[in-house]
Amino acid sequence: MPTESQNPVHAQVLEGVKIIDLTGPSGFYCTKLLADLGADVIRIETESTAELETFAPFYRGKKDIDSSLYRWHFHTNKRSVELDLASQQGKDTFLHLLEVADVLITTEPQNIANETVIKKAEIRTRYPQLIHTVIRAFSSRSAYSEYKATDIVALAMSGLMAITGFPEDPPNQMGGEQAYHMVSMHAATGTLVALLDRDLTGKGKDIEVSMQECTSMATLQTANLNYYIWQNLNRQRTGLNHPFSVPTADETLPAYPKTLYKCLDGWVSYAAHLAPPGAWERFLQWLEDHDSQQDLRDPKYLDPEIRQKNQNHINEVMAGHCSKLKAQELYHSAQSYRLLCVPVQNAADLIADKQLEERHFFKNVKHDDGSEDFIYPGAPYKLSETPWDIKNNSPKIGQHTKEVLDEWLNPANAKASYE
Amino acid sequence: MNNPRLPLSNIRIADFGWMIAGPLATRVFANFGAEVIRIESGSRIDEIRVVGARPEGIESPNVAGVFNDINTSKLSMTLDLNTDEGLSLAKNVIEISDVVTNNFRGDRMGKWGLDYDNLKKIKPDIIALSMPMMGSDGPHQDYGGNGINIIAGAGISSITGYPDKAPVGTGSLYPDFSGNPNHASIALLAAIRYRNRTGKGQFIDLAQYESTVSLLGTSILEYTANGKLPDRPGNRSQNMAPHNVYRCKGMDRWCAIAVSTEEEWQNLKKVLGELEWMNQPKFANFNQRKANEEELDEGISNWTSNKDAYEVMNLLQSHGVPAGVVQDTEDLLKRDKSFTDTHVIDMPHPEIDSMKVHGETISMSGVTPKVDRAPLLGEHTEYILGDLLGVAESKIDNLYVSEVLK
Repeated sequence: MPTESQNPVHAQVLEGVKIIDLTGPSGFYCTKLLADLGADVIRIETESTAELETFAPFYRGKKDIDSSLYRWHFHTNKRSVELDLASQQGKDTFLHLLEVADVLITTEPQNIANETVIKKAEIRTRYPQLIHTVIRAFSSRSAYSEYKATDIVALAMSGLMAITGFPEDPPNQMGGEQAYHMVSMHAATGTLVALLDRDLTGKGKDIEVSMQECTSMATLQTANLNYYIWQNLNRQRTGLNHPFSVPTADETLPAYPKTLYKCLDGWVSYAAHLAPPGAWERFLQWLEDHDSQQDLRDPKYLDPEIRQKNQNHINEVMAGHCSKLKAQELYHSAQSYRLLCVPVQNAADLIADKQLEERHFFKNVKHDDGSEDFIYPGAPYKLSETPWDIKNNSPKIGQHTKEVLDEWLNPANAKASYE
Repeated sequence: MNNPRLPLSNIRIADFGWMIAGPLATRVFANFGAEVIRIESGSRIDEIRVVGARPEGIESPNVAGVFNDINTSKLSMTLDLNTDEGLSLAKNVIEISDVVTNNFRGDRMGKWGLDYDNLKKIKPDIIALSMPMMGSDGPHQDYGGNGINIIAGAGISSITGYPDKAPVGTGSLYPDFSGNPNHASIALLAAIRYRNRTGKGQFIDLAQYESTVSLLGTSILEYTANGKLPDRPGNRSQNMAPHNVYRCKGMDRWCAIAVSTEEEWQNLKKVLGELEWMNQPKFANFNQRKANEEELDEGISNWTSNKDAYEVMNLLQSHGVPAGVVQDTEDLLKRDKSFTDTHVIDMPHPEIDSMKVHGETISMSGVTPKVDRAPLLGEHTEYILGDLLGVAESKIDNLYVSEVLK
């Protein structure tokens, strides 16, 4: 499989930026984003912190930290420094590292280390150059500031979960821990704004983001706060009905387009509600190509109002059409008519996808234990001058202790730290 | 218009973005002081100025809720890019900009001669961001879709919902509000720093499809390393048990509870009153609890079902157990006073009383990001032409008359 080419002449955009990563799971993606752009990210770890982070899934079912696919995925390009922050020596070394670091990233309130070693306010006075990014469950100004949150708790409190799921089931989490991803992306953004600021002022800043607020940004279309203020509309989950649909017991009211339709071998998504001019005609041609149009050629349907009144019927015609064909057939034939139809794809479909293959999206990563290469998800963005890259797989605990201390600290401090 | 105390006040962006993902990528720049200029058409109005939440009875391209939320602190100028003079004015704006962004499908920018190769001729160190669904090349380059399609195509739907049911439809057009704008902001900031240090601009090719695949967590590796396709997990987690939402007192009220550690499990038991069933060996450790998850959930539901969801959350959190009410819009505005006070802004607006918008999510010590009202259509055309480009007033009048500024 072709993978992202490695062009050694390219610099990476964050090369030389030293980042200390003391995050829990809500911050893993933040520091991955920065490490994959070339920042020197070091995780401060011990065997016992690693035990708490021995997350499933595991490679070949082996339940140890080095087989954690969670660690593989989220800690690419990071280095591991083994430091016990409960010991005086560990604490001293950590403080020396803060002197030379550009950025410290921590997660609160579930934090194992930093407040016991050094208070936040003290960091600001003792290390004026340091950017300190804090990823919180809830804002420090919230009444819930000391409340803890995992991904599902943040999804719930943010408003995103209330609009996800089927009305007949409990509200649903989104797959893939999206609250962690949301807050991590905002934290990386804030960290970069602070770096640009420091380039101008020479001074580091404290950055704070919260899972609740960042995740709530994903609700601002369907559950826009003004719907409630202006129309008294309190959005709930709508299953496969369009997110703008309002559940009603009155089946004579016009329905909305469905978002997903079942096909021969899976599901396809269809975005009909924002159809540009001309889309209705192209939709009919697409149906006719497969003899699925039923009565929709009746001229009365040229009137958008009539179509809206008969949306339930149109949905049924579309459902009949999809039920005859395979997902990939529907996908490419619809797109040839510029209709917004894309199948529900899983990891296997993505690996087989021609577009991703031609764009070299997936990345072959050589593991440094010499075992074999593995295929990782690739770049979220392609920067022409300073490409994203995975140069190293996730580290073993303490793999880089001596190497990092020698590089970052003056010889006396470095030596005192590991001897 | 710039506030010199804000960290990005020396940055100017020519923003050709429309709908959601493009404009949302530059929101953080505007809030932190950059001059973000929306270059818009007054005749083919950006749909997001019109669709979605809007106050009843007002016909205006300026009052839609989503538009106002994702375009805070920006400027707007209207230009007809299909006229030579309009296009030439757009190029003048680009000449004094650091960054040019767009999220059109296909090669719309190229048709105006505003693709990266041409932009470089206008401004050699320009940073250009393009974010069509499929990216700037490849066999499906011209395929189209919106958030509903991307969440399905990029794999999030396949891991959302229950294994024996359809994937859950999207409650939010999630990709438009998550990876696509947020990854774009990150790439732009990184590229600006690189340009500041080297003098080199660059092209950022962000495929919304790929940027959303990047949010799948371990799903790809589960398949490529283990050959296993992850199930749709409902509300379960591979690493926590209990982990679910639990029915509480009232209509459709739920509280999420997630237990990661032994300590949290012991605390949960304490809050529930050391109920006998919880002390059975089959719940003694994570592996046991995970294996007997259904029974575990049933037991916890029995306890939550006659309690108020907020009471459940507060009780558990006071004992260090992560728990959170499934809040809807009404809850966020009426029950979660801190969320409203710290994050929601009542934005004054010249055409209506006021509207609610989200505040800036990033707080920075010693800096108060501005979150100013989104621009009215064409509100700053004269400022941009006159103050920034030095076009004479009489010429501006002529441009209006000849509909170049439409």
